[in-house]
Amino acid sequence: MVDDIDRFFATLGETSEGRLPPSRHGTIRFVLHRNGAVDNWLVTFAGGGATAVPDDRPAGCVVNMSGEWFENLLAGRDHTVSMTLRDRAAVEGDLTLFLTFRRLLPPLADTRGPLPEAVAAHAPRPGGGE
Amino acid sequence: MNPVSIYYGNLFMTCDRKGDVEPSRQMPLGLFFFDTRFLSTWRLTVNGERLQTLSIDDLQYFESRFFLTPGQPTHYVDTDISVFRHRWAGDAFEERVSVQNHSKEPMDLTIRLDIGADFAELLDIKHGIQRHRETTTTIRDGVLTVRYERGVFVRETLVASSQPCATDDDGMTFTTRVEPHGIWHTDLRVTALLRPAKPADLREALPGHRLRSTEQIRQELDDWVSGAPRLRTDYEPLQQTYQRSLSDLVALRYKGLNYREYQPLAGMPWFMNLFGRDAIFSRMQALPFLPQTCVPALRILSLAQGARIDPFRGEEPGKILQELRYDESAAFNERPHAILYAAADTTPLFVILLDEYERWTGDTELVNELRFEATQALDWIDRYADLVGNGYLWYGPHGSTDGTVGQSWKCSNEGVSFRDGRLAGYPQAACEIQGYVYDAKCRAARLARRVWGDPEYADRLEREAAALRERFNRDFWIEDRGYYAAALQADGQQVDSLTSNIGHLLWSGIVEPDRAEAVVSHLLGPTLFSGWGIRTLATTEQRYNPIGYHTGTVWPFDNSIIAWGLRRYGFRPEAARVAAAILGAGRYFGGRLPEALAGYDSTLTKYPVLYASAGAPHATSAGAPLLFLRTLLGLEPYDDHLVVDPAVPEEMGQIELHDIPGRWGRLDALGRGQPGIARR
Repeated sequence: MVDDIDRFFATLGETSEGRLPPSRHGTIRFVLHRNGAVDNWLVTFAGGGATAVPDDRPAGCVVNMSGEWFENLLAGRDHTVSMTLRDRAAVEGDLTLFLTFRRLLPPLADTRGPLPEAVAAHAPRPGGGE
Repeated sequence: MNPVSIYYGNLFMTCDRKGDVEPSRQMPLGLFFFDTRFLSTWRLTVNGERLQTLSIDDLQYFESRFFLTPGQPTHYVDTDISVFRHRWAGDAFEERVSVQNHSKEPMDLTIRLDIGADFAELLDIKHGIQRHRETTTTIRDGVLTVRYERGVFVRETLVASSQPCATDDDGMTFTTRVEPHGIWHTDLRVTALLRPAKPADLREALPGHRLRSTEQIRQELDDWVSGAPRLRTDYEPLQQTYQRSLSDLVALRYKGLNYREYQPLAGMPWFMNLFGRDAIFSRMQALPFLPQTCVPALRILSLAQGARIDPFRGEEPGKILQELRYDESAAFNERPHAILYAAADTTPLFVILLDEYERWTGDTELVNELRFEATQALDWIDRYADLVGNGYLWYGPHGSTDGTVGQSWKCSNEGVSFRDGRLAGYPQAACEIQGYVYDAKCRAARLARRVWGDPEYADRLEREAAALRERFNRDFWIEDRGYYAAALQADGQQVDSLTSNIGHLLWSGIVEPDRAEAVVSHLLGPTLFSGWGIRTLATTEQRYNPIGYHTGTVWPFDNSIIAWGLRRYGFRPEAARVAAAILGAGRYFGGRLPEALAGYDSTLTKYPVLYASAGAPHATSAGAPLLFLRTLLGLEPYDDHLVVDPAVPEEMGQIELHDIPGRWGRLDALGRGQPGIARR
């Protein structure tokens, strides 16, 4: 079943055109934990846009999060920076790539919070230490 | 109480005169890091007695030393014990507690350190908001850990000692025998953790683990400051404030979550975070002196540029942020300041800084790198900011982090008012922001033509700027009063109070030359000019209050921009007069200008009165003397040349500035005091 997350990444090549500074290059990998499974999406910034493929190769920035919270991000219910601050998005590597990624999200948002925090839903942190 | 503070980056410790921190919900006392209090109790006793202060060495911004003795002042002359507390802020907060026995007999001592962490948010303390947080305390390997959890949000304070001690939930107790004329000491390290998951963190907490030394931190500061031009002058207030300002500007920087480049902080103690407006103004003021500090500021503002339409945080595509904080409310979106966009002026100011930076440095690479962001910023002005549809930059009210609603630099709730005291409504078009837009478009046109190779865009921007200038001079000018309205209302009504904002218009160049004389006569007239500088609001206006934040105080930063504007229009003696007033006031603060001074007339108070809650150091106040120096020497880059056109008052004597960095390499400038500076 194709859901919002899959659709977002699958259409990123088209929707991202002209939305990124052409000077920004790099790769960011999302490790999304959903229903006991892990999906890896590798996003590459180039030429003022981005493309995404399912891939678990190393990237300049790796963001571990639950699928549910990524959906919140897409829907504009939450914000990349606040999610990083409370570890809903566990960022390893170059945080600036995650900040750049904000530009690719659907334009409308209202991030007034707080959202209910289901502790069980959060993704395990890379490197352990839970 | 006159608190003692040290800081390094956005980690700061503020305590009482003993070096102690008592739990306080009103004062920013304690150890703060990333806008959160990681120590709210830090109290030392010896044999159950509180200590008395003999003296304090305020060694440098990150280091202080307390000389103390147990007991009451009435009998401390008889004491046999000295206590030294030597502390510094760096990657962690560290303190060496030493206790010396001056007697001929051995002493059995119980040294107790009470420790507590409430994880209060700095902004809550500022606004008197109290929230109870349940914390847990654990002791492992002698390390006392206080932990606060809310879901996956975790903050921890780790306290470790080099000497063995009995650790309990509320602190550490050292029981020791000190030999005659002997000394005992322990090294304490307090580590504040935002994401306390990694095993390495515990090792880092231990004093055996080497962090950056005070020497390394001092060297960092010296390296930065030594790259700045050297000043030689007979004018003592300038010499005094110059080094202080450079040091403060270098010290007021921090590494954000990404631990890469140093970002500008706005000021102690309430604004130890990134503010767009303060970052831009302070970098602009310091450009001829510390040009390299502009680069990370421009980059972080670009990186955090608005991308979505999010009414909660005032975000719109292309808008430049107001502020960025890291506390719990931000993390949970209870307040919008994880990234807040509640400032209307930062976006044009960002473009202005980018151009000014290139004019000085010739760094076209950065200007090309940030072309997309600069263009987006200009697009935001046209697409999103014209709320009324008549060609101005408007803003509505926005709930900011501190309860203010305005989006100009005079953002406090009384900041924009009519002469009769009525508050201006919303939407509101502040005059100085229209000036910034005019300047941003003129400057972007220059960049488009010279760097981006886009003459058509340059032509368009210049046409828009010219139209704005014409419109502005028609709609904002109050003919019978001879100055520009502070703002417009949506129905076209002029907010008619006389304010310092009109000085910013000179800086932006939007003022018609034949109106400049009238504007200047107001700025230097008795209702705005206090003798210590230009007031934010004239004494004739109903809301004038010499101790009101934006309603009568004198801001060094405001005055430095105005003086620059006076120079732009050829009012050289007036620019020098404003510079001399503020620099003269700086003498009373050891060269460290506070955020704001009270607006009392200098004939009333023989010394400048500090605005009650003014913080220091404050980045744009530290930047002010640097911009005054530029203004006095008339430093302007023209292509690859540095033009020096000094206008130095006679009483200042000679001012020499050596090795001014820029696209010309390094050059010297010399200004000699003249009796009667001519306008031109």
